[in-house]
Amino acid sequence: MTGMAKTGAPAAAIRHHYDEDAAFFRLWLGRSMAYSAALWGPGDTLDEAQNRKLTWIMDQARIGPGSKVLDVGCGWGSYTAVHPEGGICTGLTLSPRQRQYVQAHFPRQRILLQNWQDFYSDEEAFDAMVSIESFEHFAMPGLTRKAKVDGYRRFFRWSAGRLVRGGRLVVQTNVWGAGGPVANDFIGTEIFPESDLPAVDEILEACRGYFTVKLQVEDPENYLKTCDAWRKNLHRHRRAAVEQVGVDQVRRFQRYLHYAKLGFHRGAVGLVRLILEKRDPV
Amino acid sequence: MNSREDIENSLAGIIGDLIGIAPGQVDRAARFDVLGLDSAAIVSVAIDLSEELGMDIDPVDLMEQFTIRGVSAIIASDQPAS
Repeated sequence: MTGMAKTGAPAAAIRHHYDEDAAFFRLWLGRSMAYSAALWGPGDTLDEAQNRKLTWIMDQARIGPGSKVLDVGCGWGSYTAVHPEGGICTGLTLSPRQRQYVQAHFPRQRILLQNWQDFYSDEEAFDAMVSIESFEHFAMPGLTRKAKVDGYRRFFRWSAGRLVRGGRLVVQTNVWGAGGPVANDFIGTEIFPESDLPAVDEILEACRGYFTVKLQVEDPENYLKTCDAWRKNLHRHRRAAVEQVGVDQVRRFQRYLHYAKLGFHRGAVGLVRLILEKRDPV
Repeated sequence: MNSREDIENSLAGIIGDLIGIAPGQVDRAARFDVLGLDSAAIVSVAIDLSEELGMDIDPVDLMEQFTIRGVSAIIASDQPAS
């Protein structure tokens, strides 16, 4: 391998590395590659429950084959993959390897390595927007409640500015459990070390004036079940996972999934799905 | 299949390693918090046990049963019959 031309090897090596990472996630996230809570129906497999969620989101956001959709935090492309039923998708991610992976798999969709704050597009309006578990990362720990809500409000103002009249925004996010962050033990901070989760009332307060809440669903039991499916998959494919990323990394993810399950089990962490409709300016 | 006794022995070994005493000295009826295990330690124990026994271990079982004896009974009875 050392005799390989220097100009070709690095890119190939990087691509190989990215592919390996995606392959690791596929072992336990399953075919959907959705790294977010599913919506379980009776007898569903993980893939079926993830599809059920995406279908639900599309129905709620009134998305059809021709819709222009902005996906804030596209992850490994679980939403992007619903093409064409899920519309023409623009996906934003901060992860270079996710961007590369999703763009390679869905060359006709537009995947950008960009923060939502930097995304401005005057020439187009989107029919719908989805934010599937990216909202968790919109607030850093240590902010006052006011600063946190102000930050969320900026997101909603920005979102309303990108949507057509009456367009819908679907927000699915982890939230602090009923006790709030003060009552929580370390579990929340172990799961989200660099983020402060929102509380439901902070989200509702922040979107006021920009969006009308059409539907609010709180169903942490669906996340507990999803975590459990991931945890079991990782156990089942442990040997392959260790081959992909090494034993330390596998243990790190196992710990993470155990913490997450305990967090939902104890009610320290919750889940909310909001269907929001852009308000006409007053 | 892992017998209840196998599971107890594995747990005593893993917890003994963690708190620095011989497996035979670990009190199998003592609560995990009395043994000095916090939630983070219990998660480690769940992962180690799962590796050692080659079976999926649910961390919630450890949290809810909170003794070696209680956890072993639950895990042994949850195994699919082979």
